Amino acid sequence: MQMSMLLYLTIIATGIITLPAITAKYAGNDLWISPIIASLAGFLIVFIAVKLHNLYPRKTVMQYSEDIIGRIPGKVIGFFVLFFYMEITGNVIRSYSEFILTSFLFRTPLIFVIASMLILCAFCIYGRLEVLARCAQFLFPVFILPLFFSIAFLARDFQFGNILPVLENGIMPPLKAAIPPSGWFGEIFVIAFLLPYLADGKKGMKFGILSVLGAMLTLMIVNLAALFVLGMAISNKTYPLMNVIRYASLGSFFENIEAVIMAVWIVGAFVKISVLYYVLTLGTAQWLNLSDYRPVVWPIGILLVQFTYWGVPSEMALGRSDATDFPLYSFFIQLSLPLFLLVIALMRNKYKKKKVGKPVQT
Amino acid sequence: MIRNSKKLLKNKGPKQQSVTDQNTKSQETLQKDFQQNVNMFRSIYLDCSDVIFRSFRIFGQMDAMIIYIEGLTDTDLLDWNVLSPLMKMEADEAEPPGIDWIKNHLSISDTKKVNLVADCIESISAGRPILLLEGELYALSFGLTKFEKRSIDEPEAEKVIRGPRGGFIESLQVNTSLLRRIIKSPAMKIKTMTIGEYSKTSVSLIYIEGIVSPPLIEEMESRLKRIKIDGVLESEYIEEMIEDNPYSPFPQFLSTERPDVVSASLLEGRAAILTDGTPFALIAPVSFFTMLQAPDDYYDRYIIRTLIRWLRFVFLFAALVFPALYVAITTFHQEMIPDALLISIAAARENVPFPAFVEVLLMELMLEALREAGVRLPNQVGSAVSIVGALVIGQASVQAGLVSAPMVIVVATTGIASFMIPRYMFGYSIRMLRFPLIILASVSGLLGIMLGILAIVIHLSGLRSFGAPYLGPLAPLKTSDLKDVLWRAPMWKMDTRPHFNKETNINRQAPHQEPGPERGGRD
Amino acid sequence: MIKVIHRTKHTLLKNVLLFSAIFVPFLFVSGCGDRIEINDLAIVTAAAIDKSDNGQVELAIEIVVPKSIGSSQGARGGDGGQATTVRSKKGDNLSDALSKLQADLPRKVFWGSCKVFIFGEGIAKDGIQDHLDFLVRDPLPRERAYVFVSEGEAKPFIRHEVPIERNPAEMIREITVRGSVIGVTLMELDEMMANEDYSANLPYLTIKEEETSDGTLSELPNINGTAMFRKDKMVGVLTESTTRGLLWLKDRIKEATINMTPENVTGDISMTQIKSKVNLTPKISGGEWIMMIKVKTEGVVVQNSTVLNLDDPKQVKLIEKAFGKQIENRMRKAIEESQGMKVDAAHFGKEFHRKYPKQWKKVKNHWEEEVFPEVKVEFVIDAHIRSRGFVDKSIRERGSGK
Repeated sequence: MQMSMLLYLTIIATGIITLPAITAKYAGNDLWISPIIASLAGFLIVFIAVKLHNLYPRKTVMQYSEDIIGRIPGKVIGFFVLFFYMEITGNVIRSYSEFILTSFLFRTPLIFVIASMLILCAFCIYGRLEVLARCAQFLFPVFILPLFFSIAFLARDFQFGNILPVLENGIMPPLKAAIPPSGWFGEIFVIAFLLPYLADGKKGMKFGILSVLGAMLTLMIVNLAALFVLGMAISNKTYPLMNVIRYASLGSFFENIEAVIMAVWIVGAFVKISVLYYVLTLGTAQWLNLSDYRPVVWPIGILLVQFTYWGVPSEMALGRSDATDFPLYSFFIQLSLPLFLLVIALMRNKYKKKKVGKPVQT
Repeated sequence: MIRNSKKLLKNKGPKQQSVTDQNTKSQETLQKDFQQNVNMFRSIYLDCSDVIFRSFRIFGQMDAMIIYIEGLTDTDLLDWNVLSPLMKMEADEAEPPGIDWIKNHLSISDTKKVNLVADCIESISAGRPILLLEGELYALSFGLTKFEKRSIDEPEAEKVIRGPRGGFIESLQVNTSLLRRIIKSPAMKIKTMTIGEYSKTSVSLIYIEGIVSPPLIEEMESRLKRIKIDGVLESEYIEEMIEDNPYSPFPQFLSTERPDVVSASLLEGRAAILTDGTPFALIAPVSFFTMLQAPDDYYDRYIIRTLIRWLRFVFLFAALVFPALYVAITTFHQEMIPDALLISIAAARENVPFPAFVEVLLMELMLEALREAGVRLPNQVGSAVSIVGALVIGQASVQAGLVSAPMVIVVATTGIASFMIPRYMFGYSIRMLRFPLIILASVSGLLGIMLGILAIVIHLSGLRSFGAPYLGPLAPLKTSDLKDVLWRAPMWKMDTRPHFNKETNINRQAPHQEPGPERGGRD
Repeated sequence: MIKVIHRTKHTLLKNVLLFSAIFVPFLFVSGCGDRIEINDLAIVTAAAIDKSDNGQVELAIEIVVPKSIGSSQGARGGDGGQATTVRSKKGDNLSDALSKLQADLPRKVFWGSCKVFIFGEGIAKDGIQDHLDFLVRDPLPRERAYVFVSEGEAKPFIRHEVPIERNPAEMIREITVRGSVIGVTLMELDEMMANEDYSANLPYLTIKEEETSDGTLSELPNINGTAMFRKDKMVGVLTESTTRGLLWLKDRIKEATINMTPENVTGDISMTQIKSKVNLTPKISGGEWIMMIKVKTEGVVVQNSTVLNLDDPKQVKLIEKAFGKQIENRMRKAIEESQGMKVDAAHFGKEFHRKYPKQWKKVKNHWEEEVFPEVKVEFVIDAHIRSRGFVDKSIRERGSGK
């Protein structure tokens, strides 16, 4: 349960702020369909990760990739995966801080926002996965309740007609629009790093699917809420959810409740960054064959700060890469690579089975 | 810092030596030679004018001596039940007089034979007179303790409207008896040990066998035994020596003056530590939410109490962040204030010379000072101080334009909110954490507050109280335990005990006891 | 296990100390850029945007003067003096004008509680798109701020001293919130502009002269009609009564008292509508675009100066019919006028788009110019009298009856 909350927050945290705009750009008012399609990728990845984990129990990707394709190629793949996570973590941190800077604190130095968050995350990771999981669990209601309450307050301003006409231009636009969110759903692949540490390993599949499902529903609801309130203006907003929540009004006194979204955003970003950071440090430690990942926490933190600057020059570039580069990249690393590993592993097992004559699989 | 700790290590050397000296001495036994024994005790109690040595002869032939401490022993009983029979007895009995014979012929319920010198000393210190006999290796210790103690009062710090009024007092015996009167089953165990090289304080570990998880008791015992200290004057001494995270601002024990709270905790599978000389019991393991449960919650109707509990959560949050939020919103996020309010705040602040941050800090410090002063002063003066502080300073500073009226409201609200927390130890932590949050808020507004809160959450997530996660049962989630956290379930619903440790004896009561017309009770 | 935890805490503490040593001074040095005290803000309550000479815009803002509202000594302080002041500057565009304005002000302009934006008629006719861009791009102006178009220049509208409310902005806003006019928020305007199916319309402000208590005439801003836009340019104004029809069409009417004279009766009868539901159902049959308008409404009789007896079901029917007719007339007038202006104010286009996406695509580009004016309307009105108040016959009737 803790894990599914962790994963849920990982997927959704940054998604809800930017994704509605990205999907709307392609899908227009059919944007709510896209998360459903995109979640398929998530389900597939959960399936692959769990299958791989069943084949190599109590091992993470870094470890079994070496088992599957040998030491050197395994290390190479490991390096790619690490590099990928390094970059997306950098991206996530950057988009977190950009959002804070463009909507709340306009003149605060970027490095301040980045560093303060990273230090918190580092502390969290230092307390091991257990602390991270508990934090996520405790913060889960903090994330989810304000979000849904503020959407509920908005109900007065909903114009349900905005959803019509459904599929005006056929299925293609929502399909196209499903690509960026599927990149987000791809992040569920961190499950491959967490599964070995799960108390009840058998439930991995269930929780993984649960979190993808939850993420899908949330994204859909957020997309719909944005659509109902903003109508077609949604596609040219940078942060539609922000606009929507700012619009919320409760008894005409509690009007400007964007503080809520800021809280939600920080909490979500915190969990997401922590998870990615954790995966990164754990992966690095395993890649370097260290027995404990703690020594690499700080060095990687410093590297991450670098990556937030190297990766993206500005908020616009960030938006672009979120929409186009990131999904493909994410697809390659998080879907194709594991799929490739799974296929090889299965083939090897079959071969072994023939040779030894008894099943290796537990 | 490292050097410091080295110094500490060096210091530890001789100290430990003295402890071991004491230990070898404590292995000493009484001698056959009566005079030698007497001399030994006289030398031990040299310059102790409160120790009385009373020598007399039994049957006119056997030397004996009674040693006790004035004021700790009931001398009437001693005279009537020990001295008078022994001195008046005739030597015509068949049996030769000996320690066992005397023991059997004295009408005192609690009589013990002691052999070790250390035990004798302990007995004397505890107010039990010692009878030394000529030619005996053993001495007799009588349970004739009597010393002045406070009557059982209502606890000052934990008042309830409905519920038992008795509170613990300074005497350990009375305190354990209070507990025993509530939980009569022999399953309630009381293990007593002495801690403190000089104070020799009795410390009792109390738990209910079969409910508590055995590893918890083992762990607590071993931690208690680890304590090497010269004196224990208050339960806080113990608390700081055995808690899980000594650097945490949060209390990892629940300290209470109420026997009913202790009993309830014991029944939930927690253990309690009672210290002689303190009217406070320490309860562990606890969680964040235990600190927010008031005894009243269980002595009133559950629906009302659930609502009050929610109110408490809200005000807990207010006590923590309200001033920080005020600073953040008025100096960083003015757009979040409703228009009319913004304009009135602006008007109120027009003449205030300080930035909001300084203003808040000033008033908060003033509030804390007032509170501290109120605690120190005698009751009558205390209320005067709070009136002067609240009314005069508040009013005057607003009128003088030093602070704005909204600020006074904010600070006052925070003050009230922090009194809503039923455990004042916990209230202290919250009050303390408010200040870093105010500073963070003044640096980066809401972002700062959020980061501060996240840091607190991270800390709490890592914190444990004797192995039980501090944020439990919320994280890690135990749905069935939420019945006494997020709301207060009715008694007939509280079927299971909280499972913070091992799940031993999980069922609290028979299930399905919901009363209703079909169960009778109505004609 | 517990020992292990202990060790972690030690390292944690060391790190906390280390980092607070590095981080805390850093905290104080940086991050303070956004801090501003409330008494350093110039709180803007309304902004007026006007066309100026040689393509420039003039931005006028109404600023609260907190000093005059009431000092910290309590309610006694604030006697008199205008609570707001108006400053204005010209510039190449809004942001330019604003920065010039800012340069002259001792306090920082704060848009967060600006709830009223007024565009002058001149600038509205030239197009408001460019100015709107500034308002929605900047994070500070509120999405829920109302936008208006004024008759003539906008600046005088925020200048007037108003009774009852604290300042003109508040007065305009309160009237809008109360709902007898269509208030358009910044976000709605943005949506209307972004949507290609229909055009925008904004409430139209005029100045009305009113006698004050001391007998002098004072000029008060007043919402009177609707400014019609095609794309982002204003093309015309609907009068107040037509605006009511438009309100009915948009199902935005909250409280309306309708006055009518039923057929063949003398005197009139007034109803307050208390509940109404309007449904627009588009229909395309044989190349003809038809809009079916279904209205379901309930009213309460508030004044009756006719001889009609409200106890008689037949007469009630009569009144209901007249009630329905009245509503239909209002809507019809609004539609006819907007068709005449070729502005789809009631957003028929949206309904057609939703129901007939294919046919819509063909006419999309010339909808307002060619198709919309030709749309036929059909009304189905179900008006119902729910209650008659405390008396049944009118007083006149009772008197004459006996």
